Amino acid sequence: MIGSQPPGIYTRDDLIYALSLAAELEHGICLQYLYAAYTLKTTADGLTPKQAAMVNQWETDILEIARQEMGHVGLVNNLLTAIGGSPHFHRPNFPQKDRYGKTNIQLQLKPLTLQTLQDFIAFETPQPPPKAKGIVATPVPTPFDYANIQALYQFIKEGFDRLEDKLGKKKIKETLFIGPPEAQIDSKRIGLRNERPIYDVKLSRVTNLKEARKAIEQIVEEGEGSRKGHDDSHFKRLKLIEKQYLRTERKFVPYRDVIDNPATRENRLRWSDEANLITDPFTLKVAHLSNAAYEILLLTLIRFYGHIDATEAELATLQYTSFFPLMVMVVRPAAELLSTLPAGQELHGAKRAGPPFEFYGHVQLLPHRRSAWRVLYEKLDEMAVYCAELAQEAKNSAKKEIHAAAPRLEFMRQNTRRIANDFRSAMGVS
Amino acid sequence: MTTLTTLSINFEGWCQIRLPTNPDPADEPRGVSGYTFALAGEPDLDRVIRFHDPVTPRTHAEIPDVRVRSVTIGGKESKNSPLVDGPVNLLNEKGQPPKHDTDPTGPKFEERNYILTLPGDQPIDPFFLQVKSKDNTIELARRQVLQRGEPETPIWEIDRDTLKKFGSISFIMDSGDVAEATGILGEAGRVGFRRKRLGQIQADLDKANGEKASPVVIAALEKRLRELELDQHDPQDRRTVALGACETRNFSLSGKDPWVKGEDRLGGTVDRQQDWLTEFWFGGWDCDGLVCYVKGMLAIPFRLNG
Repeated sequence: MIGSQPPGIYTRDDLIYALSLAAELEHGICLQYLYAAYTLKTTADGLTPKQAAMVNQWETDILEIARQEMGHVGLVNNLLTAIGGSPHFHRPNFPQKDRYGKTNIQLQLKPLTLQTLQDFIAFETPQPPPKAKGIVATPVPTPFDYANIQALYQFIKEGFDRLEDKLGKKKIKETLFIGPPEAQIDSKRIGLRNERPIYDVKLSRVTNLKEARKAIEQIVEEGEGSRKGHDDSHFKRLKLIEKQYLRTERKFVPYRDVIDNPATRENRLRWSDEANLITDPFTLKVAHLSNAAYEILLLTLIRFYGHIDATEAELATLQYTSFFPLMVMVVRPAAELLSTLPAGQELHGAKRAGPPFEFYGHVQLLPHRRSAWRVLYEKLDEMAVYCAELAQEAKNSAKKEIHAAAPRLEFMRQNTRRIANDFRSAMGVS
Repeated sequence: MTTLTTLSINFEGWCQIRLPTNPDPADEPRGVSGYTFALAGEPDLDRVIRFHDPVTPRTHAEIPDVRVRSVTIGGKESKNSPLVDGPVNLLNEKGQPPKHDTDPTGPKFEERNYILTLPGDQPIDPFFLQVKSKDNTIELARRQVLQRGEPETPIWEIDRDTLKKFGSISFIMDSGDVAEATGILGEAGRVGFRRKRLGQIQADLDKANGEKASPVVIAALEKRLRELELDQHDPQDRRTVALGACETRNFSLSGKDPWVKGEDRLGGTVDRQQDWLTEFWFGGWDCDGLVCYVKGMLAIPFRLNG
């Protein structure tokens, strides 16, 4: 439709554009939560048992919120697949302060200061419906502006409604929902029990308008809560943490003294003066390991969410390589380790580092099955070799803080090697 | 000429397992994202299975104490066997009882978030089973070897199919054996157990607050209460379901040079060459108390004197 019309979503193209943007935002927000959670202190950092218990509960809550954000990325990707789009896992490197138009969204990796917490609350705060402005639609995705993430989902929901009006109730299923349902990922596929959320994440397939609306409602309700009152919403849980945080009257610092927006490449500084280069040689290597694990995780997830010709056994291997264990046994331990290691004395004094969640190029679907398994295996193998070198270096290091990382790196060495070998064997990589 | 028969030692009791649970990493020290935690004032989680001598045992939870309940020789009960009531233990890599407060070499379920096996298929490593008489004059102990002929192969280098042989051979969600051993029967029993524990911890917390107990004690009780509240309205929650679940394992112990002491008092000679066999189940997992029930048997080839 060409002509003057209110802003919003009118076509499949518009929907794909908006859903891709939603996937990017959910992904970035999820990583911010992870950064804040992984850099919290424990008794090992000098907290009293009581302080540590409170901070541990914050970490529990924030990681649960992050898992649900990962679930939202999954749901949005199911929506994309349902309407004929492709899974979207790419996002720009941190920090991103001005990328998202007039929104309140600034994507930055920061520890859990009170300000960071209040920024999180702002993401999840229930918002009034967006106001319309006149625009001219084009054959390319219709431009629209949104004040916050809820407004983005409101636009998406209205887009589905509008397409229902345009295509008709009877025709919308066959006309709009053209993607193969079996290519989507739901809780049944990743879980042990049908339909129940697994580890607080509920994923559903989308095959019609009703299911699309339900998926969007779930995302919005888990974030800001529903009008009927949703006690477990991210908003309410973050407000509770804020209340406890304020009650401590800042008598202790709950987070490690880490740099904001860590980066491993100098060219990143050209794009933002708020990126901070990790310069400590050993820490830099651990950051490379962390980035490598994160990249492989995403490549695996893209192949999982974008599966075309993978066999059931291959899909199971992708699942048992990505959710567990890469996320849990490599990405998380590497991130936690980084928050205990020096960022670099010259530039950052005594500050610690953190996981950069950094891309060196675009991560995209490896479309050809046999070569995809080969590429993924090579990356897993390289990561395992690198991890073994780091474990040895830590073990031999005379520096106390590096030596202290040795047991965890040794555990990661064993596990990364096993992941690589099992992947090779299961995928038949010669 | 002596007769080869079987010495069967039946054991049972509660044991403690202080382990993090999925989706926490296997080496998570405090518990963050799973449903098990090291509480304020407790040492880090170490995944070790302790049949005795628990680390910071929790109030209202059963006390770990696995013992021989009965002994049969050739199928005939040996009521006066000196092994009856003797302690049964799982030893660490060095053949010693697991150390306090953490023991990296202690017996552990080894699944590693799906890396080594799928949940349920995970072996216990090391598995070094020891049975003693109460007076300590008899000892029978032998280690399981995961990779036959290669006892030094570390677990992460052993293939999935081999490890699976040492994982559970059956998994029952609502086990009659567990109900019999723990007194927790069916969904109503499980829900009632969690509800009762909630009441107990709430009462403890009220008392602690009233007495102005240490903040550490209060923080620990608050955490337990919070976790107990999570499944009160969902009998299908894994915290509740686990109370009725039962995992059975069955495998041979083929470690070289088993430890045998005082066999004369048993009336025969223990065969040290042939494999021994063990079959046992873990069930009734009380994730608030970090304890579960274990029941099983150790079958040893045995030559009666005379």
